[in-house]
Amino acid sequence: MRLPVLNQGDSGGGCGGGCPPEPPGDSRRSFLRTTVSVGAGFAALGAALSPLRDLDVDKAFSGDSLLRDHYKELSAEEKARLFADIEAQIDRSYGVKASVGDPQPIPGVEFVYALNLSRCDGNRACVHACVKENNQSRSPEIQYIRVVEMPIGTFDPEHGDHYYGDEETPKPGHFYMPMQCHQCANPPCTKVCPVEATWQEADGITVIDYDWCIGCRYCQAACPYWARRFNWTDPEIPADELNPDMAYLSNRPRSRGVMEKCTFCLQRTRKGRMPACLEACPTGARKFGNILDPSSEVSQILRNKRILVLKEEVGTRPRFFYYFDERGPQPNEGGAA
Amino acid sequence: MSNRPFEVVISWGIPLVLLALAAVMFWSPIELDDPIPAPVHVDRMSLGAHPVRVAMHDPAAIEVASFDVNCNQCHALFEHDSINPPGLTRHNDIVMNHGENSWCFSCHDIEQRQRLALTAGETVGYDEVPRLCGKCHGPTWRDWQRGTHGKTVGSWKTGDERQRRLSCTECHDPHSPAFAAGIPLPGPNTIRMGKHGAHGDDGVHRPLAQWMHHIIDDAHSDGTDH
Ligand code: HEC
Ligand code: HEC
Ligand code: HEC
Ligand code: HEC
Repeated sequence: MRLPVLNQGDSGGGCGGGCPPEPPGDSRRSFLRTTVSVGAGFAALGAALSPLRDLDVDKAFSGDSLLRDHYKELSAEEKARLFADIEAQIDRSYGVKASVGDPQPIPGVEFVYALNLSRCDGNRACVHACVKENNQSRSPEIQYIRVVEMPIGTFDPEHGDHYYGDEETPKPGHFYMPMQCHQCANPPCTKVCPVEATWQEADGITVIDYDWCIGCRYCQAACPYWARRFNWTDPEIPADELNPDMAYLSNRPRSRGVMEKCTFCLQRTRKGRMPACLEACPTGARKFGNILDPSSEVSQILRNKRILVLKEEVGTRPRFFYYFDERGPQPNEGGAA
Repeated sequence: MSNRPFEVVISWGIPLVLLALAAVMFWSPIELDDPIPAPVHVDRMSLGAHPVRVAMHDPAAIEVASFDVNCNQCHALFEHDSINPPGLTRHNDIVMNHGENSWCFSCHDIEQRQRLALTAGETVGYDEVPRLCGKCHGPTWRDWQRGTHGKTVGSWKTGDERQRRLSCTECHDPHSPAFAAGIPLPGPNTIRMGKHGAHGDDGVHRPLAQWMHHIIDDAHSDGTDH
């Protein structure tokens, strides 16, 4: 009945051979004890591994995409293979025939966003158009755009309310400031990334390679605009709401444990289209374009309007500007005119 | 051998407790409250690039008994130039709420209803509404021409054929031009998006504050709202 190996510690090693022989009762007990301990050990191991029960083999990538080089070092063939792999994986898990593209920055184009604080009325169409376009998780909810309601005369986003919504907007005496990734020219987020999973591209868009990201969330802590989001769980998107027009560095589906953020809809804008948030905005408060083109709307705005750079003092040099309209004297307002 | 009972408790107790814990983790009989709220449903139709309203084009017409009738088809039949028509027998669906600008003929041409009136007898068609508005709203018209008021959709590239700039009347009702207030689309609904110090004016980070807030709100309102 004795298990020599398991009992070694008890009989031999413990008292240097000088121990009295153990009574039979003792050895049975120690055997039972050992069995229970080993059993508990295996059970604990099993319990620790139990999340594997939920592992969806369909969602796991093939070895190719796990053992590849950094995005910037991939050859055209390697990219093609990788994207085909991702498309197949999307088909397996969503039953959707998506196309994963890789539009490149357009030479001579640097994107800039401008947002008219005099016009935004806080309706949040942008927020949800963005979720839809960029395949953000619906549950738990991930939104790139955060609209902050603040009393007119104050300017403190930290104490503004971004959960407003029970009352009609615009609420008298309040203004609304949508915030999203500012695509900084001097981005703190890319500098803190320990694995170079996020970088700034030639047209000014800061991108993330979701396959390279290790989920340390340093970038989230570094961002002064609260623009980066983390996938705490597997993102959940209804298959019929998946936007099949995807790009590798922007709106392809993410997985648990990676960061994501606004990419100025590069899958659209690098093909000349407008970002989804702009198209959905009913008030026309959102403006987007090429700052290197002097006739573009954003160039006109930067030349002619009063501009606000959010947290200018932190030196991030954002490519996202807020502006105001001048408002002449209003005939029906006492005192004016 | 004096601490025997203690040893027994240790050597049997700990593995048994561990076994029990492992069983709990494996079969999870306890229903844990899921802090992930259910997804919100948003009318996806409202998220496209649709203009706020459908504007009129040349030749201007209104629907009369389900036929499209041009303004002139009626207005050529009679001469009518009441200075300020209160209680019209027709067009009484029109509600003027344009500040002091309540006179029909500051916009509609008095002779030709198919046209809009600029200054000094000059007229434009309904396709050129911005010029009409521009005669009174100079700065806004200038902004619109530069693209800083209103909206350009389709493409950001100057000269791209997909590019289209919305006309004033695709956003503003000319008779009642102010934007209506409305209930916004749903806000963030996750405990993980709390911004730093969202609910603590004392500067303390309480990521769960919003979550608690909801529970308390729901308890007060018997869960009837949202
Ligand atoms: C079905 C016939 C009909 C059509 C079509 C029609 N109108 Fe009229 N409209 C009238 C009548 C009748 C009046 C006069 C009502 C009154 O004075 O009580 C009138 C009055 C007006 C007035 C008020 C000033 C005035 O003359 O008393 C304006 C402005 C006007 N119409 C504009 C238009 C425009 C613009 C269109 C085209 C988009 C149009 N109408 C199409 C029948 C029509
Ligand atoms: C600020 C300028 C302005 C004023 C003032 C104005 N209109 Fe109009 N009206 C327009 C424009 C612009 C349109 C085209 C509307 C569109 O594109 O939807 C229009 C359209 C119409 C139409 C056809 C569409 C419809 O809604 O039935 C009628 C009828 C009309 N106006 C009647 C009147 C009458 C009657 C008055 C005076 C009580 C008046 N308008 C005052 C600018 C004006
Ligand atoms: C004849 C001059 C005139 C024309 C033409 C005119 N407006 Fe106005 N508009 C006014 C006046 C006057 C006000 C009132 C300002 C006030 O009362 O504060 C006004 C106010 C407005 C407002 C602000 C409304 C508010 O309550 O905030 C808007 C928006 C507007 N106009 C849009 C337009 C559009 C769009 C057109 C072209 C279809 C147009 N206007 C044509 C004179 C004009
Ligand atoms: C994309 C939609 C859109 C278009 C197109 C648009 N506007 Fe506006 N406009 C707005 C919004 C939103 C406001 C602010 C809300 C309000 O005051 O009702 C506004 C406000 C105004 C005001 C009020 C004055 C002010 O500065 O607050 C005037 C006047 C005006 N618009 C005129 C025009 C004219 C003229 C045109 C066409 C040349 C035009 N708008 C085109 C959305 C638009």
